[in-house]
Amino acid sequence: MIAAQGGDGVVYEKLLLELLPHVRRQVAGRVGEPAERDDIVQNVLISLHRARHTYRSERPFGPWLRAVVRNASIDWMRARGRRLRHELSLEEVAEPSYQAPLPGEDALSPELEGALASLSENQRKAVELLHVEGLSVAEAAERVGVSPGALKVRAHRGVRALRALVRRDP
Amino acid sequence: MTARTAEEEIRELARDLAPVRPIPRLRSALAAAVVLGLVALAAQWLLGGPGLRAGGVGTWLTLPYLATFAGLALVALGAIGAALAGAVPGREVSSRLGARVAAFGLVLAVAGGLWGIAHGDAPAAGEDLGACLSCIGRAFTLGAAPMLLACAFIVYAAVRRPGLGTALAIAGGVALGAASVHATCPSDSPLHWILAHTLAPVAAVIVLTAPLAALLARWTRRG
Repeated sequence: MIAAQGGDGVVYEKLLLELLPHVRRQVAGRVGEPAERDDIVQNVLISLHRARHTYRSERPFGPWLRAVVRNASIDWMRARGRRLRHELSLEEVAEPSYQAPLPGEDALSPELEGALASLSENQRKAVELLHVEGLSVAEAAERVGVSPGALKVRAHRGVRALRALVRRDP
Repeated sequence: MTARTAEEEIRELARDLAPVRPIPRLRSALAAAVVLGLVALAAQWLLGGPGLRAGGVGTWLTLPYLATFAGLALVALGAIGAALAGAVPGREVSSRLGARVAAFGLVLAVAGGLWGIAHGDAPAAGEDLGACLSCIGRAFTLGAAPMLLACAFIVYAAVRRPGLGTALAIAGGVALGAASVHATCPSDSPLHWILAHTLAPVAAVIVLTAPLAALLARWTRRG
C-alpha cells in the first residue's frame, strides 16, 4: 500500500487483485442478493482507491481495509435504499392503467416485441408478467421469487428502457 | 448489471494511479490544533488582549474554577480527537472514545459551575449580557484556527458524515478557545463561567454546524 501511495501502479494492481477475494467474501457476508454483490465490490474498490491516503504504515492494514469495505457497503446500500424509495414513489404516482388484451387480440407490436427482447432477463420477465400477462404485483413477485418492491423496480426500469428504445427508433 | 468486471475496474484504477501524501498522524494533528489555540491566545495577548487571570494561585485553585477549566480542556481534546479519528477508516473506536471524553468534559465543566453557585464560593450574579457576549466572541475567535485545522483534516481524509465531523470540530475548537478565555477572564462568577465559557462550544455548534457542514460536504464531493 505504501508503494501504491507513492504512485506504483503495477504494485497497486497486484495488491488490489490479491485483496479482491477478501473484499468479495466480506461483501458476500453483508449482502444477500448475488446480483448486487458485483456492484458493491466495484463501489468498494473505488472507495478504497479514494481513501488510500488515509492508510498509515504504522497502523495494521486489516482493520483499515475492513473499515473501508464496511463503510462503502453501508453507503452503497443506503444509496440503493434512497433510489428504491424514490423509484417506488414515482411508480405510485404514475400507476399504469393497463388492461390485459383479450384472447386472440394482438398483444404487442413487432417493434415492441423487439424492444422487449433487448431488455435484461429480469426486466423483461417483470414487464411481461405485469404488463403483458396482467398479473398483480404480488402474483408476479411470487412467480419470480423476489419481493414485490424488487419486482416493481425491475418493471419500472424495464418500462423506462422500453420507452427510451421506442423513442430512439420511431 | 455492471458494465465491467471488478478486474477491469482494478486495471483502470491502477492505470490512473497518482501518488498521494498519507494523512498526518492523529496525534500530530491534535497537537497542531492545540498549538494553534495557544498561538492564537499568545497573539491576542501581544495585541493588547487580557493576560492570564490575576489574583495569585488562590484564584486558580478553587474546585469550581479548576473543574470548569479541566472540563473545557477535555471537551476540546475529546471533540477534536473524535472529529479527526472519525474521518479515518478503522479509527471508529478512537472516535467514540473522544466523543465520550468530550461529553464527560462538558458535564464536568457544568458541574463545576453549578458547584460554585450552590456553595456560594463566589458571586453568582453581577454578570451582564455584554460581558457574556464578549467572552463567547473571544472563545469563537480563539477557537477558529484549531477548528479550521480540524475541518481541513477531515476534508482531506475520508469523512463519511460531514455533519457530525463538523459539529465535533466546532465543539472542540471553540472549547479550546473557551478554555483560553477561562484562563484569562477576570470574572469570579460561576454563573458567568457556565453561560459564557462552558456553553460557548454548544452555542458554536448550534450556530455554525449547518453552514460549515454544507461547505465541507461540497469540498468533500469535489475532492
